[in-house]
Amino acid sequence: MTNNIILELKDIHLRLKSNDFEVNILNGIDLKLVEGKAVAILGASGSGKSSMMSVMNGLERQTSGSVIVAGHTLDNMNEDQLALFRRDNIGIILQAFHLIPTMTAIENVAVPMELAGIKEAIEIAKKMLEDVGLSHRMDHFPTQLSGGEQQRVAIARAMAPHPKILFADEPTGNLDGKTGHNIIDLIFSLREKNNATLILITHDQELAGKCDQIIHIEDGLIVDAHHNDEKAAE
Amino acid sequence: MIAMKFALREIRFAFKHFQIFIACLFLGTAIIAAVGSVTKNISVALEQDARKFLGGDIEIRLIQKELSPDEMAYISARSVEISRVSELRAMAHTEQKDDSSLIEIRAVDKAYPLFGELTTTGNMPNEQLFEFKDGSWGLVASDAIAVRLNREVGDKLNIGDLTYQIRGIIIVEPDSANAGFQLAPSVLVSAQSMAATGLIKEGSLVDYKYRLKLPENSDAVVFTEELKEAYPDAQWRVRDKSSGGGSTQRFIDRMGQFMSLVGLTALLVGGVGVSNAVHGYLNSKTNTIATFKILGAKSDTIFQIYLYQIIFMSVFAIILGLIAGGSLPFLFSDFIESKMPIALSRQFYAGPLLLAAFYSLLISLIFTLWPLAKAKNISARQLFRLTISSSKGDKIPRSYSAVIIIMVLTMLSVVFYTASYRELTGYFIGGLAVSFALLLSTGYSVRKCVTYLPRHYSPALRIALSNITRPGNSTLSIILSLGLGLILLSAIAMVNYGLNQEIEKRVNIDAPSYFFLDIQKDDHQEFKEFSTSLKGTSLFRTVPNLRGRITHIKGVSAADVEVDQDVRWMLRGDRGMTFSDQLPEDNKLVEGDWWPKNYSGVPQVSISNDMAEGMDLTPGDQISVNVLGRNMDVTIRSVRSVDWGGFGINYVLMFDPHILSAAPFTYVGTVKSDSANEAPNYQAITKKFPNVTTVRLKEVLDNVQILLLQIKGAIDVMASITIVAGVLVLSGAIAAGHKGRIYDSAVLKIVGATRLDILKAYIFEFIILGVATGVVAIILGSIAAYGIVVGIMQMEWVFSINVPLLTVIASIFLTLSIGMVSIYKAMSVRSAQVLRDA
Repeated sequence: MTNNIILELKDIHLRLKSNDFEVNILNGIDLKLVEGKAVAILGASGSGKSSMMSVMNGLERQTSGSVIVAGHTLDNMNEDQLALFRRDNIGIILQAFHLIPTMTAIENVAVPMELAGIKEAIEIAKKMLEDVGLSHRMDHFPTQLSGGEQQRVAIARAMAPHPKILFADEPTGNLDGKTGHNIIDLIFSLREKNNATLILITHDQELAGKCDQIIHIEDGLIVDAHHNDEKAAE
Repeated sequence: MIAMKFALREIRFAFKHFQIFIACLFLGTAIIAAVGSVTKNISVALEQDARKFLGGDIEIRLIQKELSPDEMAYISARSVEISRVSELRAMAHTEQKDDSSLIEIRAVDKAYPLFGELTTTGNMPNEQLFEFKDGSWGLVASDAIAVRLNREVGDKLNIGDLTYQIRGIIIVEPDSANAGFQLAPSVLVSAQSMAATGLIKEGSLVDYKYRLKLPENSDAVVFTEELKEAYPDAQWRVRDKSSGGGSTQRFIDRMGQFMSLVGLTALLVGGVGVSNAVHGYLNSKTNTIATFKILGAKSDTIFQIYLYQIIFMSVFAIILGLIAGGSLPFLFSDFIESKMPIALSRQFYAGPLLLAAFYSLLISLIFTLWPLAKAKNISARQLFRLTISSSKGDKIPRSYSAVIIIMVLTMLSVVFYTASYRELTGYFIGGLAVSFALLLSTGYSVRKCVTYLPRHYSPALRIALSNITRPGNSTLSIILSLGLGLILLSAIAMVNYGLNQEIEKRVNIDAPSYFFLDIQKDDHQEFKEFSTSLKGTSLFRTVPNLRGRITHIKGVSAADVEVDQDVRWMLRGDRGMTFSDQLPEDNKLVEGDWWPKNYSGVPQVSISNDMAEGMDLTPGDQISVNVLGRNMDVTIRSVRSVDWGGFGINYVLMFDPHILSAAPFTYVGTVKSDSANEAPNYQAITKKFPNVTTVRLKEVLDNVQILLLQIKGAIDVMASITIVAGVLVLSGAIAAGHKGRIYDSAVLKIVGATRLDILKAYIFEFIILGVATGVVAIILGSIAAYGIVVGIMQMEWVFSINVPLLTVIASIFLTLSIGMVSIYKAMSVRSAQVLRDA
């Protein structure tokens, strides 16, 4: 592993406007993340952790500051450029899975590769589903899958293009305990296999303990960011 | 092609979202395809049988005179065969002379018909139908006259001085489509017998039609031109087989044009449904689109994915519509053929079907491009449902507006290009556009006004008003969907009401009971004395009547002179003319003065003011006329205003007496009879003067009323289809809000609302929308009706409260009854289940 900086946030502010008022979500975030590490982001509800992740992966545009991810400066990219950036560099796993309901499992996994014009998309998707233990569910639609199975498909979809960074926003939030553990194990094993950087939002301290770095965020500011010495010791 | 691949995957589950979309496009396509296909089938049949309908390759028509020997020799030398038909109106009397009826006599020669077959119930060759046998000449009669006089085959009829035997009832009269609107039912007799009836005298209004069969490969147009060259001043009207369908073809064209426009209206209404359906579908796809964006799809890819789906659904609906519409001529061919003497070709014609498909596809794209453009701007961040701010995405480029405008203009261009009657089309499209815009404005205004209303203490009313303005409300859709159809129906109803009122008013005030034609000069005095001696008669009036034609206007030939389109008919063919030493009571002088009594100077004429305006004529100008073969130059002495809408005897040209009093003429007259004596007086007059043609106004009005009712019935059916389209769209609009209603009902029940409370809220909402739609429909329908009644028909505007009242009631009824389905489901919901599923 190297010590290359894979992601950098410089003085990130995020203000959102409603009809009558303005809310400060992020109030000056500075952060550098090293390539290949697993990073946990902890914080209470409304602390700004999901918003910070959205800024990191280009889903949200910061009000001020600069975002550099995998060598790309996201600040002046338009929506289409951000979409292409996401396609080629990152994978995202969300709490609510967000599979496309009108596509089968294999089709869902193949989508990002098909968008990238990869001809072997279906074959790669098939292999990915085998890796996540769903070879017997390839032709099932999301409504025919359990919660855990849907999240596995989402993981396969996120990992199939071999992203440099994997973002996971409370990936076990909608799952029961046992299933959640299995999912986390799967995420971590695939991350290591692909040498991807993992940025994980969680409430779970135990899960955070599995990561290389833990960041605490509160009221839109990073209040603590430390390396996980216990993990390092392991 | 990735977008196509994704679109096909999505489409597997899309049909349930597109049911209203498909239904709306199907209906609009089917109507336009049906109208076009039926019209085309009929037109082709008329064209193919043009010679049959015209009666020949060429028809030469003269009034009150026959072809000269020289003219006859000319056309005989150039034709394979000639058939002559003489037509005039006369009275048919029962043998006992206890009843009589006006008829149109057609005296045919042995060559008739040159094309097609005369089919009767007589079941014998034509010669036997008409020959003199057992003391009577034979005739064949239309079913209408047999019913009217209660006669059967074998019975006798007196016509003029002759007694005829009915030898058959007409089943198919091959050239009847050429005849147009007939005042009376027809009978066919032999030309040989006609002379013996005594009906043809000097001055009788007889039409002579010479039908020519030309040699094979002859060009009828060339023949006509050569004929004109050979006889440049001939007083005839020549038609070739291109006008074989005649007035029937014109009627078909007009009705087809109108029905196509109504079909386009239904398609436009359907467009609203299409837009709603696509909006709803794309809203349901917000998460999917955001997911696509997260995974790296560009905006254009998103646009294409859903555009392909919409095109697929559109094509599917259009194909179904084309099959249904294109099949109509087949399904209703027997019915159509029973009404018209044609044999339908029973074919699919590509032209009308392609046109219907073109319109439908354009409508689909026009109404879906904007929601598609908005959908492609859905941001990936919308998956996270930021509660603070809702992202509106990037602004939609103006190029989308430009494309929509281009598509609208393209559609309008094609509509105008293919229109047979561009002025009518222009008014209709203009009215449609204005109505659409005003309905849209009404929707916005209703929403705006509701926000300013005070928050009512009644929770039900407050909820109703909130529903009208809530995000995702159906207000605009409801008003648009019903509004157009109701405007059309209310306008038609008001025009119909106005027309009926006008006819009734004129009949009650000043209409005579009978019109008399062909009163011979010798019989005039006796006729006058007899008619006025009958009980209950009044308003006796007779005027001399001749036929002639205008040949030159201020030295320019009638064929070449430029005049307004609406007076061109005055220069076509022979017209009725009269003379008088006094200005008629119901005419007013607007320019010039009247000739003095016993005037005998330079020939002078008084013209109607519409002729003066349309031909730019004033007193002092000269025109030339030909009356019974004699050319005359006459000076205009005065201009009269004439009330053509009344039932008086009016003429465009009225000459000073000294020119024409010596010419052969007959009288036309009118008599008014009170209703109690109308029938017996009619019998008395027709019995006393069997050779005078008597037209009973009552019968004419009855026939006109039947015809108007039939036309109105057809128009009402078509206009109702717009309502059907509106109901479809309304259903879709109400269904779109259904989920919200269910959620609201669940929450209301939690806080203590009863089902009655919920029901009241929704009833208020639909009544408010129904009233708003009904009111705007009345206003716009009244404006359209006013324009037609006053502007086009030039009648007095009469307002009736019934039509507006019925319009509003219909609007409320439709909105409520369709809404009730959604309301019922909303009231029946179990709150716990809804909240669990939310």
